[in-house]
Amino acid sequence: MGRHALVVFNVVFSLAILIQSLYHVTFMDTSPGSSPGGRHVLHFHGDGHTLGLTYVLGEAGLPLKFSGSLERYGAQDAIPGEILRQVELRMLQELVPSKSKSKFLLYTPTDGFGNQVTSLTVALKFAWLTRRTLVLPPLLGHYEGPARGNCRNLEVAGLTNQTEIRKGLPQSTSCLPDSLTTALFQCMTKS
Amino acid sequence: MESVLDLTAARKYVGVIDAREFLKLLADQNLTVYEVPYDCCACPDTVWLTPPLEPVDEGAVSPLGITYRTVEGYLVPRDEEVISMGSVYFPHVEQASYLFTWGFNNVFRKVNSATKVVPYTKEIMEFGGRIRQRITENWHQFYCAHIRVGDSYFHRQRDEHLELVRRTLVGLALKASPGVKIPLLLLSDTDGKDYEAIVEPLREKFEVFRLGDQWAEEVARVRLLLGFNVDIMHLEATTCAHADHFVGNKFSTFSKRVRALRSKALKLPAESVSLV
Repeated sequence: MGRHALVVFNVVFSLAILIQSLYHVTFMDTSPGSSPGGRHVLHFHGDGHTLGLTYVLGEAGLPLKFSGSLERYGAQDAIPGEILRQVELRMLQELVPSKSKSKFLLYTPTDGFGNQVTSLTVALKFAWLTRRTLVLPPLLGHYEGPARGNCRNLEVAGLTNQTEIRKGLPQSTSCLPDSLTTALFQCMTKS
Repeated sequence: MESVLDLTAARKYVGVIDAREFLKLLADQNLTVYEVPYDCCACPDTVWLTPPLEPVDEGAVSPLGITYRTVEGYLVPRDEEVISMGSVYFPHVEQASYLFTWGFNNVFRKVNSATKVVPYTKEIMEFGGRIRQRITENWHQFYCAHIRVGDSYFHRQRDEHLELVRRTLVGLALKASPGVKIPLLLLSDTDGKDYEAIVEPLREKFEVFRLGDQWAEEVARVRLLLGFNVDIMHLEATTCAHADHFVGNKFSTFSKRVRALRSKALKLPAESVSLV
């Protein structure tokens, strides 16, 4: 009897470890004060009918708490790993700013098309992390936008935009202009 | 921007709004704005290749010092309705995308994957496929090369770059079909004398053409279909994405975008790209 119990325990324990490693999820107590230890972890707890999740992002610890019934997320018939996957996804979909249009992230496109696309991919990630709606700037011509963000180097050279860099003619000593103003100016001049 | 780029995958995770719509909102509502300061430590270009591992001081967000940890600790708690970041051209963030996914869960990986390569819209991608079809009606294969003449200003001598491109292309051609000329779509930011100087050494092995000259009708047709005068650069990029081999410039984000389109959107093997 004792031997059987040990086998069952081992199987259950191994499965728990396997699921944990497969889905990169840390199962842990979500009592106040629990520390993520610097890792980005998903706290998970449930009783079979409801699920509670807490994201803690980084050491700064920004808890994004969420809970809801499994039924609500259509995951009640799924296997445990699948439940996590689906709920994870849907929870994040609820947290992303597409549901709340009140906060925005704005950036200024710079340089040529390739660099503008690189900027866009970075801005999309930042918008997701900050849970804000990303304001999409228009695509600019190669020399329409300001120079990229390492303005200190350019400022030392007395150069502030691509045209000036190419011409090698110092025309301004200012750094990147006020970013919101720049972005809006660019939008308005394109419209 | 969305007339050219397809943000469908990214939109699953990130809300986006067109700048003009946002302008209307800004005019109607009294939105509070936080400007990220750009007045601290810029780093030399070489540092871009080394992802910053330590968070920067609170209040001192540098364009080159910013990390995701900084975003979490510094930008997320901001209460203002608008955060204005200025330039976000941080190649190290893309180069170090493993930092973004490392230690995170599946959802982060999905977001990273959905935002890593923003493809062109279907119509623009299909244009490249159509050109490929037209070319391969008469030819067995075709190559594409992106030569950035302006590169010499920043990184190296123009002639050195041209010689590298020429040598790579000729090597490929000799291996693929010695004695037979191969069509080569050439993308270059130059005209006139400079263009001739670039093309001349390639003519022995290649039938060199430019998209706007050779396929002007197709270009006009897709512009009509799209309803606006799409920049030919985007059509060139998708055509190059469909080429049998692409030779690009290793310093160019445009070349890297073509490489990404080939590997991510068209699932072509990495060996079919040479960045020199």
